[in-house]
Formats: sequence, C-alpha cells, structure tokens
Amino acid sequence: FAQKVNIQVKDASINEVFYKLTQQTGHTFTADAALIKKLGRISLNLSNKTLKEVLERCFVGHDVQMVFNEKDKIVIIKSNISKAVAQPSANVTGRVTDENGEPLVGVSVGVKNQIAGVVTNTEGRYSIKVPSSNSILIFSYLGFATEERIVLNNREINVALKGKPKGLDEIVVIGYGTVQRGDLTGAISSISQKDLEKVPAATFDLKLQGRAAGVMVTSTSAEPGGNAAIRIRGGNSISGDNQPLYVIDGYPMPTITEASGTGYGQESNPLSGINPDDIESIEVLKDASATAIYGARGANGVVIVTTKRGREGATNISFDVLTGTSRIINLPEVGTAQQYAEFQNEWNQSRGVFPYYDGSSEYRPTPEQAGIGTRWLDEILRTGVNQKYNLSINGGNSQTRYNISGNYFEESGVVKNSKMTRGNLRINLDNNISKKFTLSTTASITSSANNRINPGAAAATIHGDAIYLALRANPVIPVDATGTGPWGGTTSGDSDGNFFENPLFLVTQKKDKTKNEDSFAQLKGDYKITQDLGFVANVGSTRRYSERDIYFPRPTALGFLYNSMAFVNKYTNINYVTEAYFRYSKVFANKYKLNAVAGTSYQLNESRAYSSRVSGFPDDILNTDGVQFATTLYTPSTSKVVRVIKSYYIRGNFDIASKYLFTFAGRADGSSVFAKNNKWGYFPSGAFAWKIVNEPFFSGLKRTVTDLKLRTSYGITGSQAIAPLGSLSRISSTNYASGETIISGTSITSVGNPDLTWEQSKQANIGLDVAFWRNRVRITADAYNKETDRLLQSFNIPASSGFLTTTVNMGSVRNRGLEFALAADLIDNRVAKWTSGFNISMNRSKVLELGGNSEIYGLAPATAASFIRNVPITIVQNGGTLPAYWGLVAERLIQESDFDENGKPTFAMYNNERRLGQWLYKDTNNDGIITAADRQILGDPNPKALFGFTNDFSYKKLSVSVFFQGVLGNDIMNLTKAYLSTGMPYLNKSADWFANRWTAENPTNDISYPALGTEMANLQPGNYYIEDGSYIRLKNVTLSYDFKINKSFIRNLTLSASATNLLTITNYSGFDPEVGIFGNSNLLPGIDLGSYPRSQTFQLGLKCNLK
Amino acid sequence: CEKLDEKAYSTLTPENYFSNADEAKVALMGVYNTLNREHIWTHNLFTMVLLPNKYVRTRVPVHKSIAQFSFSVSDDRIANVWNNAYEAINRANTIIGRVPNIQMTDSLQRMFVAEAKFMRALSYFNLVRLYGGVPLKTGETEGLSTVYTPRSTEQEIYDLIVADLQYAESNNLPKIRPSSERGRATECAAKTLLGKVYLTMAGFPLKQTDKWNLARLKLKEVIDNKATYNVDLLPNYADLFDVNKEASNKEAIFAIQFSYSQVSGGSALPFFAAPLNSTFATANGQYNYGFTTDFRSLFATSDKRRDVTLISSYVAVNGATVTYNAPGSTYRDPLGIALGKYKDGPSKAPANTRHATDILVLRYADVLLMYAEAENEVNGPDNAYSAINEVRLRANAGALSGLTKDTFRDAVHLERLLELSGELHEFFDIKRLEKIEDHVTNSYEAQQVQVSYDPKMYLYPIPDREVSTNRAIGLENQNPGY
Repeated sequence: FAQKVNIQVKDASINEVFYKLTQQTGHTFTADAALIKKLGRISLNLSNKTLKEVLERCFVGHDVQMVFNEKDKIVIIKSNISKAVAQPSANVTGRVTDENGEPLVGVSVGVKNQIAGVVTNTEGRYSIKVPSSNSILIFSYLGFATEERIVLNNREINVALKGKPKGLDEIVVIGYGTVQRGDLTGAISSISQKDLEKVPAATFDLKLQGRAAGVMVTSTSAEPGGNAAIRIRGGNSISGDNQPLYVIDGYPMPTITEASGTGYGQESNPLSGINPDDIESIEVLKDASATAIYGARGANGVVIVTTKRGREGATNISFDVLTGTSRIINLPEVGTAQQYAEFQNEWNQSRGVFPYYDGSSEYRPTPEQAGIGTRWLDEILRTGVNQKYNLSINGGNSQTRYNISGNYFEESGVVKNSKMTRGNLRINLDNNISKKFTLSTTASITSSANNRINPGAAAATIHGDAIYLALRANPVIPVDATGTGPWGGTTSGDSDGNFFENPLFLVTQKKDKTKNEDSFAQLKGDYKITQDLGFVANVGSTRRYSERDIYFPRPTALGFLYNSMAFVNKYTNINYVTEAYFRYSKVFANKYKLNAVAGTSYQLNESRAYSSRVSGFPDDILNTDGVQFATTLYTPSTSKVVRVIKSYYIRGNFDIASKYLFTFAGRADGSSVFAKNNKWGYFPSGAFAWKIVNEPFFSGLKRTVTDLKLRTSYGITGSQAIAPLGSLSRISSTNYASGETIISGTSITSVGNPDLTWEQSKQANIGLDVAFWRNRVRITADAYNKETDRLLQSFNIPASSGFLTTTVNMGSVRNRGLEFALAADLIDNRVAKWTSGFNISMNRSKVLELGGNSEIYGLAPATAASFIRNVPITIVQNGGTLPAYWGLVAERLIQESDFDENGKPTFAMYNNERRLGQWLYKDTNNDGIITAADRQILGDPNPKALFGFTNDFSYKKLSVSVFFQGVLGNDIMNLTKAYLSTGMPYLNKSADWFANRWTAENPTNDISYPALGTEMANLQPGNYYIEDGSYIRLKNVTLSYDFKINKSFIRNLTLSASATNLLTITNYSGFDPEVGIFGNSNLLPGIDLGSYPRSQTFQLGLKCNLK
Repeated sequence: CEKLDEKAYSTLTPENYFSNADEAKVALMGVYNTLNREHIWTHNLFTMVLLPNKYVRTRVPVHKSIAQFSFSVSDDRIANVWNNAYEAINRANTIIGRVPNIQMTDSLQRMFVAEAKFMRALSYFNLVRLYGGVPLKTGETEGLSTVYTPRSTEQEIYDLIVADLQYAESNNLPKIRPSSERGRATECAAKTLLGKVYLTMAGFPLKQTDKWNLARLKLKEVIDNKATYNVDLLPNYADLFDVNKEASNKEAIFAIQFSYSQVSGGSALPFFAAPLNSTFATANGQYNYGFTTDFRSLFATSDKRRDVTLISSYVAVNGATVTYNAPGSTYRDPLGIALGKYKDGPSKAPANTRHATDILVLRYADVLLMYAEAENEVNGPDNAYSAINEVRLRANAGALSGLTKDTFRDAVHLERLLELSGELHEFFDIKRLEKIEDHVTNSYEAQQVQVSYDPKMYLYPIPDREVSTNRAIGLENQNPGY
C-alpha cells in the first residue's frame, strides 16, 4: 500500500491508470461503475508516490472510500454515498442487455466463488441473493465478454454486455505479415494446433486431411513415415510438381527430397524434419490474391506454418506422453495351399504338363496334403506400437520470450520391421533489444530414421515388395524356406521353376534404412523506423543430410542372385534465404487504413546426391557398413544441382471505413531453372472485399447477422516446376567395350528447349464470409475458377526421334470448384461446450486443351511389374479430367455360345484370345478386332467431393472429440486385384476368385472372375480393376479428462484416449481406399499395387502442465 | 541477370562438346553403345527373331505371346527394339551431321562418318525387316520441330541403307581392326552387310530379282579378299561360341562386344538361354528358348554342329546328368532342348546380365551360305557348291553334289538352319523366303492357342507408343491387321 509508483498519463481513462498501476504493483483495482462514469479523462505526471497518493489524485473531488485487501492484492474503490455495510443476503435485481439496449435472455448471473446462479428471463431481468456488499456478480453469456460488478450498496445492477465477436479478431498469418481474420480479402483456411494434435501422424501434412476446405490430402502410403500428396484446389500441372509451397516461420522451404531409393519403393515423407507438436497454427493460402506474393511458387497454393513462440508471463512446463497400438483394418483372404496346388495341377493339365503337386516328394505334396499351408500375410504382419514424448518450456518477460521443446516420436508399423523414429529439438527466442528493435531467433534440429519395407516396390521392380509378395506367394512353401534351399531361387515354387522369394525374409532380413538429419536456423530482425514504418530482415538456412542404405542379403531373391547386394545412397540439400522488406501501416483521417509491404528475397539451393551399389559379398555380416568386402562394383553416380531464385515483391492493403478493403500484391521472380530466353516472371493480383455488415443500411439486421463480407480476387501465379537443367540438352556417358576393355562413349541423351517457361495459373475467386448470432455460427463459402496454361509437360515424343520425351509448355487445364466451411458453437456455457465444424469442397478438373497434342498417357515406368510396364494406364485428353483411367472394356467372359456351329468365334478377339472364360472385350470401333484403338475411358481418379466433419464436446472436465473425413466419387485402379483375381498362373489368388472363377461347371459372366490361364500378354489395364474409391472414415475419436489439479507443482493434468481410423465405410475391395502407389505422380493417381495396409490406432495420452 | 544462368554441374551439354576429334570419337562410341544394352539384342530382339518359328518353343509365359504370334501392340519388347534402333540412328545422325564441322584430318572424318553410316544402316535394316516402312530420319533431332516423321516406304528405307553402306565400304574404314578396336565396323563388315541387304531385297517382300546378282558380286568381294580382311572359317565349329576364344575369332566379321564389366553393357543371353540348374550362366539359366526334337533330327548324327547348338544333355549344378526326354526328367517335351551357343561359366560374370559372350552379327560362314544362295539364283548350282561345302565339311556333314537349282536352294536354306540357328537369323530368313505360314501352322506354341496364319505376321506392329505419340503416324498407318 505504501509502495512507491511512477505514473505518466495524458487524457487517459481511469481503467488505463489502473492497468499501469497493476503492472507496477501487482494489485488489481475495482471501482464503482457510476463513479467511473463521473470521473472523465485524467492526466498525471507523478513519480515516487505511494499508491494511495496516486489514487487520491485520481479521485480528487469525489468522496470515495478505498478498501485495500492485502491478502488478495485487491483495491476496491467505492462512492461514499452510503457508508452502511450491505445487509447479508440482500437481493439484487437488474436487467442485462447488449450494447444496443436489447434485452439478453439466458445470461448466467452468479456470485463469484459461489456455485449457485440464476439466468435472465425473457426481458433480460434477473434477481439474485448476494451474501454481502463486497460480493462480486459475474455476468456471462456466450459470444459476449464476461463482466463483473461489485454489489456495494446497489440493489439494482443493470449491465450492457459487450459482444465478443468470435473468430474475427483472430490473427491470420499471411506472407510477409499478419491480418485479422475479419479483414481478409483472400481465401485462406487456418488450422490450429488443437486440431492438429488429434491425429497421430509423424508429419503435419497428414494431419491437414479433412481440416480445410479445398485441401486434398492423400496418404500415399500407410507405412510409418509414409508420404502424402497434397493438392490445393486441384492439380494444375500434368507433369510438373503440384505440391504447395511450404513457408515455415516466414522461411520458404526448398523442395527437399531424400536419398534415392534407387527404384526400390516409394519415397518417404520429406516433411519429417518438422515436429507437428511445435506448430502453433497452419494457414493455407488458396486464391491468387493470397499466393501472388509468392509469385512463381504460388500456383499450387501456399502452406504457412507458424511454430510456437514464447509469451510474456510465468514459465510454463508442459510434458506429454502418448502411446498406443495399431492393427490392420481389413485383410484380403487369399487361397490356401490346397486351393493353390489344385489350381497349379489344373493349369498344368490344361497345357499338357503333368500335375506338379502329386505327392512325389515333400516339396510336391498332393493338394490334400498341402492343407492350409502358409498364410504369408499373417506371417509378415504384427501389432504396431507407437509412442511420443514431448517436453516444452516457455515463458518470458517484457525483454525476452522463449519456447524450447524436445520431442521423441516412434512408430512401429503393422508390417514387421517397419519403424520410424524421430527426435527433435527446437528453440524459439524473441528479444526486445530496444524499444524499436526486436530480434527473433529460431533454431531446430531433427534426426529421423525410417526402417522401410518398401510397399509399392512392385510398381518399380520385381524385387523387394513384401506386401505384394505376401499376397501372392505360394502357400505350399513353408514359412522358413530359404532362397538357397530346396525351395529357393529358380528351382521350385511351381513346376516351371519360377522365382520364389520368401516374403517373411524380405521383411525381416532385408535392410532398408533411411536417416535424415535436418537443421534449421533463422535470425529475424524487426526495426521500427517510425511509428508507421518498419524494416524486417531475415537470414536463414536449412540443411538436410539424408542417407539410405539398402541391403539384400542372401535369403532374398536379389541377394540370392547376386550374392547379396548393397545400395548406399546419400543426399544433401543446403538452402539459404535472405529476405528484406519494409512494412508500413497508417491510419489516415480515422477512416483510411493503409498496410503495405515491399521487399526483396534471394534464395540459393544446392543439392547433391550420391548413389552406389555393390554386390558379391562373402557373407552377410557387415552389409552396407562394409561395402569394401563386395567383389562387384557398379558405377557410382553423383549429381550436383544449384538453383537460384531472386525476387521482388510488393503488397498493399487499403481499408476505407472498415467497409471497403482493397489488396494489391505482386512478385517478380527470376529463377535459374527457367530457360535462357525466359528468366523473369511477373505475377500480379488484386482483391476487393466489401464488409456489408458495416454499411448503415445493414444495421437493422446486425443483431442476427453479425458478419457479412463479400470477397473477390483475381491474379496470376506461377509454378516453376521445370526440373533443374530441364531446358538444356544433356550429354551422358554411354560406353562401349572392346573385348574386356571399356571404351568411353558419350551421347546426347536428352533434347533441350531454350524457350521453356513457368506454368501460369490465372485464378478468380469469389467468397462470402457470414456469421450469425454473435458469430456463434460462422460460414465461409468460396467459388473459384483457376486456369493454368503453358503446362510443363515431359512430353512423350515418338521414339523415332531417338528420344522418348522432351519438356515443353503446352496446353491448359482448368480447375473450378466450390468450398464451404461451417463452424458453430452449439453449446457454450460454463459447464458444457459443443463446437462443430464441417467443410466440404468440390473441385472439377478439366483439360481445356493439350496444345494440339491429341492425348498424353500416364505410362507406368519401364521398370514396373511386367503387365503394366510402358502401358498407358491413364489418359489426358482435351475436355477430359486430369487424368482419366484408360484401357480396354471387358463386357463379359467368352462362353461356348460365342462360337458358331463351325467353332469359329463370333466376337472380336484380342490377341487371338478365344479360350472360354477369358475376357470378351467391347469392340468400340467395330472393326472386328480388339486393338489399342478400342481403349476407353474407364474412370476418374478425381473425387467429386471431399469433406471433414468435427465435433468437440466438453462437459465439465470431460471432453470428447469426433472427426469424420471422407472422399466421394473417385475411382481406384486396383492392380493388386489383377494379381489376386485373374487366372495368371504361378501366383496365389484371392479366395474369392478361387470360389467364383469361370469353369465349365460355373460359366459365369462376371468379369471379375475369368478362367485360369490368363496370360500376361492379355492382362491389360481394363475396366475389371476399376473400383469406386469413395469412403467415409471415422478418422478420430478422442476422449480426454482434465483433472484441473492446481496443486503444488502441477498446474494441470489431462488424460486422453483416442482411436484413429476407427471405422471406414467403403465398397473398395483392397486393404484401404486411400492409395497412391505412384506417390505424387499427377498422371498415375489412385493406383493400388501392393500398398502398405492401413491400420487402426489406439492411443493413451497423458499431458501435464507444471508450474 | 547473369547469376541466374543455369550451370550444369554433373552433365555435359552439346554447347560445350563436339569440339575436337577425341570428343567425336567418344561420341561415336556412344553409337556403338546402343548395341550392348543388356536387354535389347541379347533378349528383346533375340526373342522376336528366334521365337516365331516352328522349331522353337519356350518355357516362359511372357515369351509365348511372341512364339504364338499373339503379342500386343504395346508389347514392351517390340517397343524396346524400336526405341533402341532409333536411339542408335539419332546418335549416328549426330555424328554424320556434326563431324564434318569438327577440325580433324579428312581421313579420320570420313572414317567416323563411315562407321556412323554403317551403324545407321544396320539399325534401319533391322527396323525395315521387323516393322516394314518405318520413319526415315537422317538428321539429328534438335527440337520439337524435328520429332514427327511419317512412315516411308520399305523401298525408301532400303535406298538409304544401300547408300549408307556404299559410303561405308568406300570411305576409309579399316580393312583389319587392331584388337583394341575389336567390335568396330570394318570395310569387310560394310560389304558383308551390303551383300546381306541385297539378298534380302531379292526376297519377300520387295522381290527385286536384280539384287541376286548384286548380292553375289558383293559377297564374292568378301570371299576373294578374305586374306586382306583376315577373315575365314574357324577349323572347329565349337570355338566360334567359346567366350574365351573371342579375341582370336577370325570368322567374326562384326560381333557385338559384351564384357563382364559393370561399366559397360554385359550380355544377358547366357542367363536367358541356359537350361535350369546348369553351370552355363550365373545364378542358373532361365531356359527361355527350346528347340524341338524335330529340329534336332535335321542334323546328321556326325554333324558337329548339333551338340553345340543344342544342349541335349548336361551336368547340373548338383552333379546329376540331365538328359532331354530321359524317363522321369522334367527337362522334356514340350519345353524344348535348350540353346547351347551362349554358354558362359557362372564364376566370371558378376551378375546374370553381365556375361561377356559376344553376339555374332556377321560371320564368314554366313557370307559363304549367302554367296551360295545368290550364285545358285543367278547362275545355278555349278559354282555354288564350293561355298556351301566349305561350311558343311567343317562341320563334318559331308559335301553336297548333283542338285538342281531348286533342290540346291532348299539345301542352302536347310544349311542356314543347321549352321546359323540361334544367331538372330530365323525370323529374317523365314520372312525373306516367305515361309511364315508354314511356321505358324506347324508351330506347337501357336497351335496351343489355335492361332491361324494371317498375312499380318510378316511384320511386327509399329509399337503402340510410336503410333500414339507420332503426329505423322495415325492408327490408320499401323501395319495391316494390328
């Protein structure tokens, strides 16, 4: 009370004075409302005075009484009108209204520190008993700021509650700045940490699934650390990259990959360097107005990630542990050994060869002896385990704020030996060096390791895909059969001596380990030159060191053939970014607000890769750690690529009377990967928003419709998807031999294009933000039309040119769509809350024209499984979707009735196929023969709609969150089914096919069940593998209990239990409809071939906040 | 903007290359490089040439479609062979176009161009025989404007082949290559190939009978100059296919060089050809090609070529003797007797695609048989016996005599089977001699799926990919029947 304080204020309210005093003394101040009203503005210039002296100066001329409560550090100031002490159990009545004087119904009125309370009636009136005149009444109402009043001697207390417009004041991070959500002119979705933390995934991109309208996230592999394909408002590019630009704490991330997999399976996720628990919020910039500030990298949308930073206040230590298990959702049933052996015998007899499974040796049991045999899929699967530990410490004072976090994540997948681990350390530090200068430091290091079992390797090579093998491996062979024993190599497995590779050994003995080391450091200075003008400069660097070691020991087929084989691959990526910009912000004439940014940026990226292979090991002891023991060396390769981007950017936001908002943004980008005739690109955009809600004519509706804003924007953005050196012809080493002497040779192996330029997207957007009932219900709707032209195409040129492809700019693609997001606070009171969010988006892609080219095919790589190798699986053609599945249409199966009395076929044949039970194709051009010309569009891999639906309930200390997510109307090409349900010999089949296949006794016409003996040559991508990929998934359910213990050192303790992928409703017959074996390929989406099985995950978590 | 110039760190570009004779020579080796790809000549082309044949069977399902004349237009083997030939042609075109502008001696310049033209002719010769009138490209591809080439007629293709080989035979190609240049074209190789081209033009489909004499004269030049060219029959037939005797193989006029090295291409053929569990290749053979017992019985018992060409019996890895059609053996009809010309030990090759066994594209016995055939067509058998008998006597098959022009013709055709089977001649010969129908109707494999003869079988289809990417070729330009 006798504390000395200093205070200087001019024309301030008493509340401002109280605030300053609170800062200096730690006391809080409460004054009679009527008294405050009388006070008016105060000017003070006092130093070294006691608190009492200062307060007396403030209330000079008023008869006041001051009560100092030292225990609670509270000072109560009241008018001395009545000195009488309030009667106990006095009754207080009053009326609660909104700012406009309209009565509020159902406002809860309570006495502080008492449980009992009342609510206002239809006229906004209340009546409540208070224990003493020192009691404090609390008025709380959803959507309004809570108010407190001291009773004193008042018997009537009327309150006007101030609306707390929910959501509109939330800060949205945009490129080079922030903006209040209410002032946005572009289409931007925000996702908070609260939503991110619910889905257990190693990388944040997977957690975005279903969270934002217009953002399609497909997990292309369900393995630990698996990759994801992200498309914001559809794919623009046919051959270029469609992944968005990631900007992390203002730092534009380079395109980072990892050490090469040398064709052995899918890539893992390059975003593994960022710990999702460190993220504060994610903004997804969707329209051109928002992304044009990122110019040549803006066309695919921009994902802005902001990490957690320290706040002023007491130190907060938070520790959480999460652990759980996962199991397979859906297992296809394959044939038993008996079924397999019967089938092999039948196949042999049909071609005049003796039945192989005749009981002549232990390796050739009769079908009956073979019995159930080995269930290979069961052998390679297990229960997955995951765990996560997270520790964060944050806090700070007015000088320094810090957030330090450490994290360990581990996920053991449902396929044996697949496992990802990651450790991460991050320090975010902010320093106010002076009043004008703030320095922010960000540093993180991440180390991750991934043991991979290579799902999808079948898409790339015959070796190494355990899932694909386990589905089709010969079940007669015992589980411990080795590649070198009687079952091994080429000597058994069937009568034709086909290869047998033991799927279990491939999983347990093959080594495939990727290690990534990521570091990130950034220094950002913000200098306030004047009140309005600031200068921001940042320098930062990311580094990735990645290595992938693959070793095929002898028990694997490759190891058997080559006396073990090792691959050692390394990759480094070093990126530097320097940015400098001015920011300017000023309000003119209390009505006009200008916000502007102008700056420049320089980015240098250097990536280097090294890959090597050796084979011929004396044993399998040292593997990739001792390649010098190998006897056969293959030519290693190195590569170095440097990219430079120089940019200038500018943006202005102009706000007229909080009604009309204009934004102009643009960027000029010069990039080294652009061809020499087109080094610089310019990307302008403009946006206009009309806050209708602030128009005078709208005031009548304002009580119901609390926000209404119309947004429009148009702009041009680019995609610099040109591969490094893509515009240049290149010469490669192509040697020849003379006897055993190697003679150096070289050849031009790619043909260049000096006019190559970036892809250009022109996007128009119209959006509406509307909110009702004090923003309890908020709706955002957007419609967009995005046309991308000058498409970069790795264009298939006739092989007669000597080359297979060249890169060109040709054609245009349109994506148009609708997005709709709804958020509602359905219940929000002191005991219960229910918030619900729903978003749905519908994108339609259409190829407007291909630049005179008739069509582009999506060809499986030349190294893929043989029947799809180099075969068109998808087509891109004028007026079609991007892309469409493509192939022959089987109408039914060939039956006896399809031959005339002379035994001549009466149908058009493909490859002279006339055997009963084989596919009978539609002769679409009626030329009497089935050829490539009869191929048709078979399906559309693009979903018609995507949605996400969240519900968060809480009741007292218990909360429940339920999240549904779905994809509707897309097709999947299920190539796994090609192996499991066609008559191709040598491979096991689905039990379903064995049971239903065409036989003389069962002359079915179902194209899913052809007869045995379908040759590879006749096996084509066709309509028999196209399935509906729609699904609705109960993605996550989380139950948590907040103990709210506020004792000793514990501030808070939360226990949670969650289940992920609890329920999936789909008609898809494979493991799971979320597939993409060709990863991010734009031309080969939605293809299933030996995909890693998706699992259900159950987790328990404990979160603890310490004092 | 200078800083934005893109620098190629790990590759060369044409802008900083092709400036001197050394670079031109290295680029010329890049043309030859198209020959020793591990899967083209040794596998894809080999399969396409050998399998459509009544004497041949295959164990491997994917190859049956070739043996059954029932492949798809998108068959990757058919595309690979096409792609590879045009890769060679474009590389040769680069040499032919750029070398005259590079500073070097005239004789070196002409030799480089002659070698490139030899390679271009060889590539077109395979293309025209397999696919018919293909796109005729004679200049380097330098941008999109130069990639769409329509089909030419077979005659136009042959005109280029003949012109290229005529240039090659008379422009400074060495008569004999030192051992360090083994595998590169010689004057003798150019003349032999030209003789073969004339012989082919005389047969189906061009049937230009005036070419018989041109073939006869050209092949006679080779025979008359065999000492100059240092070529001749080897005394022992088996030595021709001995991987350890390739350096001293005088009979090889042009052979594709394969090595055990990992740096350059190796051959996969020993691996694909060797019977199961045999010791003739790394990691076991794949036993892709089998000959019928009918074919075996074409050989006289004394004929030394029989047991070189066919592995009727061998000692397996486990020491057991495996004999074809022995009671209880799985090595039996209808799979066929494995081809024995491409044996290599399992120990030397580091991988199954890294065998060193060369492929003989042109050899002296072929010259003698082609000469005998042309001589008989032009002048009758009288002066043709010596050539055919030289080949027969080496094989201990006895001399022929007393034949008419017609019976001599049949004898030469049979002799080609006995002497040259499994050496990339089959499809080309049965096509030239218009015998496809016989080989379809009497093929075990084709009859398994009841394929009947169709005239389309004289050509492979233009690969689907070419038809769909080449704006100058439409579906209507596909070979009839596909």
